[in-house]
Amino acid sequence: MSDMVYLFVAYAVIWAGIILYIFKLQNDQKNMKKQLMNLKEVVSDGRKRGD
Amino acid sequence: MKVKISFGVISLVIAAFLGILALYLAFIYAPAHETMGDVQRIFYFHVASAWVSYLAFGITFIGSLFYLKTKKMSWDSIAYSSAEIGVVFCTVAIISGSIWAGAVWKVFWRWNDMKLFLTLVLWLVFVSYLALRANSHPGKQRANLSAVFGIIGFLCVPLSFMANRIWTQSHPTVIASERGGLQSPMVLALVTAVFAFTFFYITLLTMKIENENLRESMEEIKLQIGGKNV
Repeated sequence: MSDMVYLFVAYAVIWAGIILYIFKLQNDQKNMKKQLMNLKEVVSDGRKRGD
Repeated sequence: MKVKISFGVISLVIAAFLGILALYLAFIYAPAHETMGDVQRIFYFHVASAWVSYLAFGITFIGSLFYLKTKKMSWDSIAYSSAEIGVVFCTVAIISGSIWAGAVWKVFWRWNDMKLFLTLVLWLVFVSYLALRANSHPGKQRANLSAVFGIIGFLCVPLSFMANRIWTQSHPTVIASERGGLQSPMVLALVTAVFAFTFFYITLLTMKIENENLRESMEEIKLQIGGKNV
């Protein structure tokens, strides 16, 4: 393999690692916010029913 | 909450700006290495990744100490969040270093190189830390155990950092007056890359802590619902 291929692969690994991790955290956050809203709705519904 | 989000966005913008600047400096401003040629350009971001992993494990160490002292769960959350980010950057540093080694040494790994070996041990220790947390119930017991693990695990950081100074190795020494041998454009590119990755670390830590706070809120509500049998 030429030096440029090594260079390209190394930079791809470095930046892909960071960018994918940012997306993972963003995705986790989106899902958790959705779940949290659903849970809050369940709690408020429960309160309305007088539990 | 609002302050945290805007802080994360600001640090992401700074990180992105510095990251682009570092790429320009690494590829255009800094000259090719005399003996290694263009492949040496891996060095700028490889070193920056390694630095951020050391910083992240250092924050885990501090967070763990403060947790044991104060028993506040927020310190446990900081320690855990930083450990996860540290593992990401350590993985990136190991893989990029291995690719660089493949180009220069013609082998991807040397088991007799203590720098490589101890960095792998450091990575394994913190992967075990994450596995321990993933497989135990949230609460004080997990936080106590994680804190002790985080403090002991951090001992690998100075060992990994000092390995090529203590033992004669093929891995180059970056911060050394006698053997550094970097031209000033190379130093500038390296420093910019280190700052860029440090700001990426701050962004990721802010995001991860926010996620941990959300998880905690969810656990509380689940307990509430479970307790009332809604």
